[in-house]
Amino acid sequence: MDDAQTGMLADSVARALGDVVTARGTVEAEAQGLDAKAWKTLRELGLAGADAAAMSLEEQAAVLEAIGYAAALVPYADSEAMARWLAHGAGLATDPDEVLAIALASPQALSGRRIAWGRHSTRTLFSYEEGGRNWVAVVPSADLLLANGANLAGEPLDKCGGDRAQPTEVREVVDDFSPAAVSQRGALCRGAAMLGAARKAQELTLQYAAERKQFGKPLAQFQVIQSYLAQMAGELSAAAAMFATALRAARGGARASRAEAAAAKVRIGQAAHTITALAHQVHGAIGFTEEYSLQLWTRRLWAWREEFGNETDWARELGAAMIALGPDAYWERVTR
Amino acid sequence: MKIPCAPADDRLDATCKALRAQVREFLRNELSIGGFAPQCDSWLRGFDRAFTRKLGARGWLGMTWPRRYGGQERSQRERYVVIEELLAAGAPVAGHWVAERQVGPSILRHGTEEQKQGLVPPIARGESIFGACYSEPDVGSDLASVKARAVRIDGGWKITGTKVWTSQGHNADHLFVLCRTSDGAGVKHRGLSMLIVAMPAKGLAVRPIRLLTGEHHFNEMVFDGVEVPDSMVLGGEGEGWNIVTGDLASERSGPERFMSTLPLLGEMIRKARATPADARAEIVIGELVSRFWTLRSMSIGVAALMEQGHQPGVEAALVKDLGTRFEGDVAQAARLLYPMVPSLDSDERFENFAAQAILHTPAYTLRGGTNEVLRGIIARGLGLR
Ligand SMILES: Cc1cc2nc3c(=O)[nH]c(=O)nc-3n(C[C@H](O)[C@H](O)[C@H](O)COP(=O)(O)OP(=O)(O)OC[C@H]3O[C@@H](n4cnc5c(N)ncnc54)[C@H](O)[C@@H]3O)c2cc1C
Repeated sequence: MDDAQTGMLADSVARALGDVVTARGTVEAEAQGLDAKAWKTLRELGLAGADAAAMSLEEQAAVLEAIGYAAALVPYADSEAMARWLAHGAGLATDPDEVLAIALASPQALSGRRIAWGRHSTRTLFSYEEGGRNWVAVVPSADLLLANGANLAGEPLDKCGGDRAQPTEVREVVDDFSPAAVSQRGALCRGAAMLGAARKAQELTLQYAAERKQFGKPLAQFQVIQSYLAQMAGELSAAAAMFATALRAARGGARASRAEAAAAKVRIGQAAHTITALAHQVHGAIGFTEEYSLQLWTRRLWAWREEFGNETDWARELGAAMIALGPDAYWERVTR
Repeated sequence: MKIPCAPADDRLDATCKALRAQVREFLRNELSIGGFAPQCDSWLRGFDRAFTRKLGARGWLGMTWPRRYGGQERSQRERYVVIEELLAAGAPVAGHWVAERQVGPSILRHGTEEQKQGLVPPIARGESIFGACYSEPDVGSDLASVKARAVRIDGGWKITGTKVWTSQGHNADHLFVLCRTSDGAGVKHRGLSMLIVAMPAKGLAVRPIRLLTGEHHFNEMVFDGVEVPDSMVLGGEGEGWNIVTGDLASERSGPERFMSTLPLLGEMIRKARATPADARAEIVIGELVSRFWTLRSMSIGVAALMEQGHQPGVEAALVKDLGTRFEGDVAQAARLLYPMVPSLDSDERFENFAAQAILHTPAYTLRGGTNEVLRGIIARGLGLR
């Protein structure tokens, strides 16, 4: 698929989700931790199951941006863009109708672990390294004795009950499917969804600033508010630019594009901080309520920036890599 | 508003790689013979006529210009490679910066054949230095309010007025002078013209205005009846505003808008490498590299939009707003990361670069349009004005 086709895919997903996802519906779905209607819509579009494994990262990122923009409460990233992809890479068969969960851990070290979307999954794929080799282990999710929990966005982040679980299958995988590659893919998946959520938060803020009047004029006419809105636009552009760079670099393989992915998750996380702060500042108290929808997107940004490595994790890895290269080779790497 | 992001172009990548290797080789060689001393903000403080000429001789000035005017007809992307390598090395490029970045392109776009043939090739050879006389004592951000006047005389114009902050005015071979030539029928930016003054000029007094470091880079230029022939009016009478604003996108989105302190980042990395692994240094450097990488991608993206015929003025303002703040943040991060005494006379390069970077911080977010003004441009792009 070229860029234009990926854009069309993103549009069609956005349109389909636009028809079924509402702010109220998402808030209500948080009790179950799933928007069943939205999930069904994505499945009907052929975005789950075998077709999902055949999609490129670029296409999946386009879908995820649309999901973030719509604030759809669905396990697409974890189940399809990650677990299904990993199962495929490990040569494991999956049922197209099952939801899969993914964990960056060994099934022998479950104490204190949480499993995103665990309660809706039939099986959980564990990605871990042991004895210098990369493994994928499959565990029926029921065996994890999960208790409900949630991230800041109200997405399931369920707590494991036991200390260890018995895998039904264990496969060794090549470098492209190592835990490092999984977390890198996770960072890009969260990054894509964050871009969609950040764009929506910005749009809501622009719209609100144009409508809300104080001192006899719209907020958007105050210079300091204009400056905030300009700053938000800058952060959004920056995040999107670095993400696009990372996505393009990813074509050359996970290992060769790790620095770009790291830089992207850092930059998007930084942008999320500024965008959420300014979006709420411009909205005043109304934005802090359950009723007004801005919170759906800001909570997503607050949740997703932590997942698969936050700014500190990735900055540290990127910084260490650049320091190891030294003053000349780091420059050659960045300008490669 | 578009999202500016570096486009992939494999064919170009090969050409750029070869060019990059050449520039790196040249810089390595220059450094080994003591050809220049690396420094921060080298595009403001690094004036070196001989170095500028060397670049000209290699065909690295005016690279994108037509061959018949001394250029190489190479792509914007190739020029980008050259200038980012020069900035990263902290090479002395202040002499030609204004001429190569904006004067040459303006003359090529607006000039007469005679102006193009006479003025452009010397810039490409690195033999002609320009000063831009726009700002005045009472005219800064609101540039359209320029007061310096040029009045008609037989066969030309006579300029009276005072310009300030003219970078390299004391070294310049020519000046680009923005003057009021009429009242523009009440619309202030219509009455402006761009006059080219050849140096030395009778009736012109050039006085240094020293920076807070004592350095002499910019100047006060007092025009007291300086005469300019008609042949040196660029683009015709009343075109001044179009000329000044015509190249703003390239002036605001280039790598110099986020690389002024990059040599210091290199020194931070050198220092971190020489010390035992330290999580804080890794995080701080990782964050800075991430921001730099982003800005670079955006900047190349703006250049690509321009090559495709767009006018990415708003996108360029985004790059400059983010980039110039990054420049100051590098200095701040460096001083907080390792204990040091920033000093211009330090024998340690880290302290030396930090001193340069800190003392020049005010410039980053002011020159070429302040960040407040840029935010206004972005706000207009968002439909808020
Ligand atoms: C290193 C350096 C090199 C320079 N080189 C040149 C040169 O070669 N040639 C040349 O002509 N000029 C040059 N300049 C001048 C530069 O273009 C001006 O400094 C700049 O345009 C700002 O004008 P000003 O300094 O008069 O500040 P002012 O315009 O007086 O602004 C002062 C403060 O008020 C803010 N402000 C102004 N208007 C608004 C507004 N509408 N809304 C909100 N805030 C506002 C500004 O953002 C700034 O913070 C140089 C400046 C520097 C620092």
